[in-house]
Amino acid sequence: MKKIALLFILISIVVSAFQMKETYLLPIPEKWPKPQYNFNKNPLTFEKIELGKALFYDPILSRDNSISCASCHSQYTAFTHVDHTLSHGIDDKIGNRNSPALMNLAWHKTFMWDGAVNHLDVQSLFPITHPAEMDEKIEQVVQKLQGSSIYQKLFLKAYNDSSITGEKILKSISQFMLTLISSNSKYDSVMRNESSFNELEKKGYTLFKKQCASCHTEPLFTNLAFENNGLAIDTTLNDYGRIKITKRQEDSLKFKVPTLRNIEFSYPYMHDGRFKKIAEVLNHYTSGVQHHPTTSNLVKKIILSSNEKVELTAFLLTLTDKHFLFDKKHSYPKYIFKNNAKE
Amino acid sequence: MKHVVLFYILSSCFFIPSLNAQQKEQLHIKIEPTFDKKKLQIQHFYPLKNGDSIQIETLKFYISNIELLNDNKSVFTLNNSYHLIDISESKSLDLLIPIEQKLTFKQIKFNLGIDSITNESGAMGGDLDPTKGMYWAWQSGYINFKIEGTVKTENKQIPFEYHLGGYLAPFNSIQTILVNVKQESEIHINLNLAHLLNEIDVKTKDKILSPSKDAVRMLEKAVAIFIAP
Repeated sequence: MKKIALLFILISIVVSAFQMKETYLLPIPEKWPKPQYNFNKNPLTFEKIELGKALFYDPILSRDNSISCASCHSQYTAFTHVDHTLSHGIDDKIGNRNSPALMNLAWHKTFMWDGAVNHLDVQSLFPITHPAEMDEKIEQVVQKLQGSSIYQKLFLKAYNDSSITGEKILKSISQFMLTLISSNSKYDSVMRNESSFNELEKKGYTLFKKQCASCHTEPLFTNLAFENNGLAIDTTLNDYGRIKITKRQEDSLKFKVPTLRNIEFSYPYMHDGRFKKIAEVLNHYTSGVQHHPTTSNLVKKIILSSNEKVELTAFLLTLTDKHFLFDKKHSYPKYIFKNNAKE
Repeated sequence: MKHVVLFYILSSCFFIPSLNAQQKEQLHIKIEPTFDKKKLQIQHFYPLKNGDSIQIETLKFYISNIELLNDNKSVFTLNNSYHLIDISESKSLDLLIPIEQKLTFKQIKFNLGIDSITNESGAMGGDLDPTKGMYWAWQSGYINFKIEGTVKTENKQIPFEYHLGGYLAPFNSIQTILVNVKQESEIHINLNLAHLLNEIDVKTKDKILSPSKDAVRMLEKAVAIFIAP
């Protein structure tokens, strides 16, 4: 009788271990604010992150299977599209905006340059369905994935159920994106007292705190707000930013403040990618700011000598996080696709 | 004894949903789309008061947070319930609501559309899954009410598309509906589209596809289509 009871306990353990997926504990950097994302509603697991990574790197999400998320969000450039002012998508169509760098997304409440998207889970719908990006229907994505043995396996592993829904697709992509945390730059190691700034960087940091940090607030290097930084209006694009969403006059020409983390690799800059070099950005703030009714008072006050620009640039380069840019954990998952390449 | 243990092992391996000891009550709500007295059919033309005629190709909308009232007092509330009604899918016109016990009620109250908290809660499944064609990708938010079709005038056909939604002020478009009902084995709610379609003018506006004053106005008018049979 005792043996049977023991057997029962063993079987229960094996069964429950099979059904319960191991929770992935996202490493939240010390002293950072509390993430915005509600992890209780979409608890991270290794299997779901893996599925999300496969979806992120797979052009199956686009109408003609040519464009993946990674096409415009490449890891080596902090998950943005370098060398293109405006990002190009399907059929070489050009969009209206510069693709944003993806990192530390768990701390964001709104997405896109104008905050059109209100939750990370629904963010991917935008590029998937946009006619100049992936131009696909989410219903169609579900169908294509249902026909793929790779994804049947991945969904089964992640959800104990191979049925595929829009909700599961979107939440899995969120899971992968939530793991994209950049917190290992030189700046971070200085803050942790593991290394120190050189003279130039130190001076640059002082300047930064005085002139830039109100909007590019540490540790995320964005206050996550919408601001008008005084860019001249591009009369071809006629993009007035946040007002399109809120319809409020006071939001005219406001765009979401981007993070400065990994700025060295995430060029070009601004919502329309008009500046290719950090130097051009700094020159804009010292001599190019246009005074519109909604221009932030803070950007009207920026004064930097040419020496100070050099110092500030030295500091900005300490925000480069090579661990993040080359972390294999976030890279193209060759091992998922290689055995099924000819499918 | 051995059999009992074996049964225990087996049942722990194969999850068996617990069976309810007593049969719960179920409320059956039946939604009946009409055009005045006629049963509404897709792609059939119906006469409008102004002499034109109209046909509907798509009619989909959300009903949420159903509440039962007796003499203006709430006797039952079903929170977090979202039902997508699609007149091309007859199944969606029958709502089965589990209730705890037999209730006496005279009115039924519900939201036409999706509340703002749900609109900001990310991706959801079931009737709220983004594959249902009722979610805006380019600006987060649900379409509360979608109606598409064609108006035939004397000399031309005018296709129209109204995707009505928006949860942010000043264009919060969700509406509250209150209908007097007869308490029978099936609760009937009539959906008389004539009350909306005679009030809109496709000649001045044939498309509403984003949150706006026009979307809110039209949803306010749509309240009138829900009536006691």
